[in-house]
Amino acid sequence: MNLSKLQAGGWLPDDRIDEAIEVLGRESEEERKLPWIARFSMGLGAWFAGIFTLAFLFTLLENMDFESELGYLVIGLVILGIGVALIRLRKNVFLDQLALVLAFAGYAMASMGIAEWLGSRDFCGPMILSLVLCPFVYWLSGHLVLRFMSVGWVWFTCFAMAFDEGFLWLLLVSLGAALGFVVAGYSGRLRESLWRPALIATVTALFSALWAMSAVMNWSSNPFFMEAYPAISTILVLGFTCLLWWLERGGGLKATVTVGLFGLVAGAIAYAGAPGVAVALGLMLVAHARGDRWLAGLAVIALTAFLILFYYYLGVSLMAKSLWLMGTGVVLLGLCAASEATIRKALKQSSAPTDS
Amino acid sequence: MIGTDPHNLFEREEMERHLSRSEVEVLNRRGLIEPEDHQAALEAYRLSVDWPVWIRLWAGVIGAVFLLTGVLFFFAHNWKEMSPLLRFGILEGAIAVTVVGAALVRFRSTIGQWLLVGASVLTGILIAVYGQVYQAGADAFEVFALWAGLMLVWVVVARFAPLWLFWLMIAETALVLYGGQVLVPDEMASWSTVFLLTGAAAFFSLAVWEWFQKRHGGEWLRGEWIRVGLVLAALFWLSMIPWRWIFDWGYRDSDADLMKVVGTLSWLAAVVGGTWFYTMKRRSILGLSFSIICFTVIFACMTGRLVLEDNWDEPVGWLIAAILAIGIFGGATALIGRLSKLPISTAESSREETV
Repeated sequence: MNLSKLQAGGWLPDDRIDEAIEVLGRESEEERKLPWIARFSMGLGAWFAGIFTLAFLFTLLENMDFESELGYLVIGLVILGIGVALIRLRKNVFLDQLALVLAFAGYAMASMGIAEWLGSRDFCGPMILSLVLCPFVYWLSGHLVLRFMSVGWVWFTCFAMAFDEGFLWLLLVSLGAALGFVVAGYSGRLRESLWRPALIATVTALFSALWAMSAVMNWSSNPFFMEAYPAISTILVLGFTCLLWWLERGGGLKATVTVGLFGLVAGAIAYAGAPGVAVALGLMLVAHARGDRWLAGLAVIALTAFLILFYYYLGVSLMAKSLWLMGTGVVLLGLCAASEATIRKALKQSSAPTDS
Repeated sequence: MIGTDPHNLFEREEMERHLSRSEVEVLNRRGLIEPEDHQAALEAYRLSVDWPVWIRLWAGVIGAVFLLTGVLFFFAHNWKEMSPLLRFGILEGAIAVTVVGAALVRFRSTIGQWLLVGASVLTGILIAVYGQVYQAGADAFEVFALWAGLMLVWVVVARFAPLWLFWLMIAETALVLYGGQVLVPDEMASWSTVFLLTGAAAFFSLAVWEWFQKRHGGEWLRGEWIRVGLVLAALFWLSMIPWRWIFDWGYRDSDADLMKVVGTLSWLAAVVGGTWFYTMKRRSILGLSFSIICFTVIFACMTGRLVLEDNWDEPVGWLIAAILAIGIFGGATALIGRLSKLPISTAESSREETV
C-alpha cells in the first residue's frame, strides 16, 4: 500500500496529496533528523557516561561524608530535572547527549536514594518513584530515547518487584496493563507517533519478563512460576491472537477461521512447554499485519531467545521435544511449499493477459 | 523537467513509498481520508499485506530450524541406545533424503534451498558423530574445516544467501580454531596475528560480496542484512586486538609487540575505511554507523582506562571519564547524523542506475 494506491482507490483526494506527504513527513521527523542507529549510539553513550557520572557523584559525596538518603533522592531529582530541561532546548547533539546522561544518572540516583530512605531492600520505592516521574518525563522531554527509558524503567521496577511470591497480584496487574496497552496501541486506538517509544519499551519489557520467568522456572523449578507461568503465557497468546483477529477482521469468516487456527496452534505450542515461542510467533504476525519492521525485529529476537530456552525446559522429555519440533518443522515446510505454489500461480495469472 | 526536479522526485518517491498501517491510521486521524472511507482504506491496506510471500519466507526459515533442532534433540535423547550403524544410517539417510528432495523440487526453489541448508547442518552432525564413534582424535578446527569443505558444493549449487553466510561462519570458526589450537600453542603466531588473519578473511569476504552483489547475476546475494552481518563479523575480529590490549595487558604495557600495533592500526584503518566507503562509495547508513560505533566504544573504553588507571577512587577521574564519554558518543552521533544526510555522489548514483 502506498499513497498512489490510496489516491487511485479514491480514498485520498487529489487536492490533499501534498498535505498527506507533509503530515507523514512530520510524523517521521525524528527519524529524518537523526536515524535510529544514531539514536542508538546516543542511548549507548547515555549508559556509558551515565555510569561514570554516577560514580563521580557517589565518590564526591562519599569524600564529603554526605550520608543523607533523602539528600541522594533530592540530588537525583534535581539532576533529572536539569537533564529534562536541557533536552527541551534541542540545541545540538552534544547537549542532547549530556541531557540524556544527566537524566540517566538522576533517575538511578533518585531510585537508590528512595530505596535507602524507605529502608526497603526491594524495588518498592523505585517503582513508586518511576510511576510518579514517568508521565512528567514522557510529556516534558519529548525525546524518543528518554521516553523509551522512562517507560522501560517503570516496567523494569514493576516486574523486578513482582518477582517476589508475595506480589502475584502486582505481576498480574503489570502484565495485564502491559498487554492492554500493547493491544490498544497496535489495534490503532492510540496515536502511534506519540506512544511509539512507550509501546516498544512495553513490548520489550513484556518479553523480558516472560523470558526471566521462563528461565527461573527452567533452572530453579520454582513452584510459584511453575503454576503461574503457563496461565500467564496462555493469556498473552490469547491477547496477541485477539489483536491479530482485530487487524484481520475484514477478511470475514475465512480470516477468523485462519486466526482461530493460529490461536489453536499457538495454544498447543504453549501447552507443549514453549509459551514464549507461541507469543513471539503472535507478535511476528501482528508486526507483519501492521508493516512494522521494528516490531518484526523484536519478535525474531524473542523467538530465537525462547527457542534456546525451550531446550532447557524440563517439563517435557527430550524425545517429546524432538517429535514436536520435527512435526511442526515438516508442517511449516509444507506450508512454505504451498505458499510458493500460490505465488507461482498468482504470477502466472498476472502475466497471462500480457502474454496474450 | 519532472525527472530532475528535486521536489517532484521527492514527491514521486513519497507517493510510491510503502506505507505501514500506522501511517494509514495517521491519515485517517488527521482527516485526510474522509470518515466514511476510513474502514475502506484500512481494508485496502489489509488486502495489500503480502501474506504468501511472508509465509514462504518464515515458514521456510522456522520450519528448517525446527526440523533440524528436532533431529538434534532426537539424537541427544537416543544417543546411548543407538548402535553406531543406526546413527550413521539415520544421518546419511537424512542427508540423502534432503539432497534428493532438493533435486526433485529444484535446487534453487525456496524449499530446495532450505533442504540444502538442512543437508549442510546434517553433514556437520555426521562429522561430529564420526569423530565420536571412531575416536578420530581430530582437533575441532579439522571438524569445522572438513564441514566447510564438504558443504561447499551445496553452497555453490543453491545460490542461497543464508546458506552462503552459514558457510562463511563455519569457515571463519575453522580459521580461528586453527589459530587457537595450532598457531598459538606452537608459538607460530600470537593471538593478535590470529585475529588479524581472521579479520582479514572476513574483510575479504565483505569485499567480494560488495563486488559480486552489484553485478548482473548477483541479485540472490543482495540485502542490507547480509552487509550488516559481514560488517559486524569483520569488525568483531579486528576489534578483539585493541580490546584485548586495553583490558588484558593494559594500554601502557611496555611489551607491545609488533602484531598488536599492526592489528590495532588495521582495526583503525578498517573503521575509517568502512566509514568512508559506506558514505562516499556505496551509501549504507548501517554500514557507516557500525564502523563509527565500533570505533567509539573502543576509544571510550581506552580513554576511560587511561583516565581511571590511577584515579578510580577520585571524583575528578570519574568526572573526566564522563565528560570524555559524552564528547566521544556525542561526536559519533553527530557524525552519523551528518554523514547519513550527505548527498550520494554522482558516480555512485549513475552506477546504481546502470545496475
